[in-house]
Amino acid sequence: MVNDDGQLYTIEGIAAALMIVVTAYLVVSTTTVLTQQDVHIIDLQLQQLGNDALAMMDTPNKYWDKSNLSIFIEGNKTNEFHNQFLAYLNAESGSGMITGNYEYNATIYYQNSTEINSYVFYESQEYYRENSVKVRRWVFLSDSSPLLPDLDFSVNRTVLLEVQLWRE
Amino acid sequence: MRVPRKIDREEGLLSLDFLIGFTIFLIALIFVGVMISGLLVHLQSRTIDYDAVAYRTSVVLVEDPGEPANWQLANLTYPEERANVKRLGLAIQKNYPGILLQDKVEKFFNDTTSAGCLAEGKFCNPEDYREKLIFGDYPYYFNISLKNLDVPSPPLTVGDPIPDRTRYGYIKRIVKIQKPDSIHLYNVIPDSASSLKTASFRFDIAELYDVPPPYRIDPLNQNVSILLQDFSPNTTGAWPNITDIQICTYPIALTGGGCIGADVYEDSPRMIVTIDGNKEYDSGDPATNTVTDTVSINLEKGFFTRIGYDRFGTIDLIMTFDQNVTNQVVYSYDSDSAASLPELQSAVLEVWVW
Amino acid sequence: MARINNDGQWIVMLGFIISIILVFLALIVNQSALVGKTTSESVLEFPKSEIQDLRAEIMEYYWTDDLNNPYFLPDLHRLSLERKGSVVYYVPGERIEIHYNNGFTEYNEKTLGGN
Repeated sequence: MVNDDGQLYTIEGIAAALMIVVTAYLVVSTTTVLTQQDVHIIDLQLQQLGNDALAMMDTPNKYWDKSNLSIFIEGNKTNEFHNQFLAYLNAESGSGMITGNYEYNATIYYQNSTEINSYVFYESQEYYRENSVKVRRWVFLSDSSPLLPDLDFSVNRTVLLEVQLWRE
Repeated sequence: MRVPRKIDREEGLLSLDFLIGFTIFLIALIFVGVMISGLLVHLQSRTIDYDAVAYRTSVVLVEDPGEPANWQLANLTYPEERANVKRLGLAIQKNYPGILLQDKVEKFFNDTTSAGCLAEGKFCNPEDYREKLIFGDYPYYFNISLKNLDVPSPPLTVGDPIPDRTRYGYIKRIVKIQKPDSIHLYNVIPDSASSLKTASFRFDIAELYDVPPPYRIDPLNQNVSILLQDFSPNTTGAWPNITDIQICTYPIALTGGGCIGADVYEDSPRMIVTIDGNKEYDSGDPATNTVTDTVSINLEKGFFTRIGYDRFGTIDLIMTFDQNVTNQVVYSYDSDSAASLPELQSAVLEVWVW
Repeated sequence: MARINNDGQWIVMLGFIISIILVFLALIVNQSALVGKTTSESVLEFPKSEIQDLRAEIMEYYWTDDLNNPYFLPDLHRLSLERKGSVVYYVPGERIEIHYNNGFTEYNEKTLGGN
């Protein structure tokens, strides 16, 4: 009574089922989320934060006041620049825990009578090729600055402050 | 003679073998189908774009003045005015990104849950915020927090607390909030030395608007507070009485009419005149309008727009007394009379979306 | 001798076809994972802060009535080109014209300057 007949469809069915399940498993396990996209999100957040911090430092609190950035560059106040910049970067509203550890290099670029010259304003740490962004701000200087001796300050001048920002 | 076959096409019989095989196949197919539809859910990419939603929300909040640009004046108890507010942006003006208007900040963080929001005139959390700020079909959860860095104060928050083990999108923005100008003070000259019975306060809107918006004294969109002080009795010992208060465009003859009485409106935004700190001015009952100490005038924000004046006008607020109160033809409402000018305070705004 | 009975092969064929469809779907899912990257990349590429900064600096000269400063335009022009890779130009006057071009994005504005 028991013989080999009647196993045809069963075996075919099992084979087909196995094939579908294995393929589905392979497909699902290979679609891992690309981690590359995370890096760009971090760049976006860092760049927006750096630009915001510089922009707010460049906005005076009262009409006809000089902005903080102008005061720091005209008076060579590197420590105060460092403190205020980091205070802005690390500010928290308290609802969530976000880590900080920002490091940066700040350089001033300006055009003297012949060429573009630069002055390194502040270096918080040596740059070892971490993932960094560059944020820049034009700074309006109405009084002469001892950092830029070859610049003609008989009129108002504009210099470019470039900050390379990264997370440690 | 017909050879008996496994499936006899005329008899409609299925063999057991076929049934078992096909059943196994079908079960596997259904199982895979359900598994794959779970995979297709990922195709909607909700986990990937939380950061983009958070960034876009922060840009609308920080760099956009909103639609309409003076949405902080809308009365949210009226459904049409509520529907008219299309975007909740906090910026003071589109050319000054990152500088927020205090009135917009206070109105934005003034929310309540869905039940009573229409009656109370507040924003409904979360529907209004999803519709007017976050946008998109998916009902995102959000948390928006703002903390003033210059003045220690509790942070303002709207939204749900951030859960522990979820992937969320996040962005942090640094902003400055404009603290508007405070009260404007004016002094009265005693009766013996003065010659005018009217105290006129002039709002030269065109001149006030010749200042960049973050530092601007703005009577059209912000509260106006005036304090007239130093009252003294005249030579017969009688204190001055207020007989009339009018608001007129200047010059009266050229613009052809535009004086209205002060208490023309009963509801907000309106003019509130307070005598001696506790009595309200009542034009119908002159006997109560005797001043012995100070008169304070408060024009609620949006009052001038309500009565139709705009940035191209000069407006006079004329207060008439029954005795001489001053020598000055006009008291100018400007930066000289303000007790403190508008100034900016740093703040940090964080947005979480999940 | 009996032939090989091929009747059940249609079940396996169905299984095979469904597997191919699954692989094809996998290709689509792979493409969708690139969506997040493109969003933040395109945000990083758009020079929003540069244009806002440029505008703010020109307006600073406007409010101090110094738009005809002899050094401002040359400084702006050379430093922009050298450090930012963008071409910047402005024309003072009753309407201030501002031009900006960084190769990907072009921005032109004519403004009265009062705001």
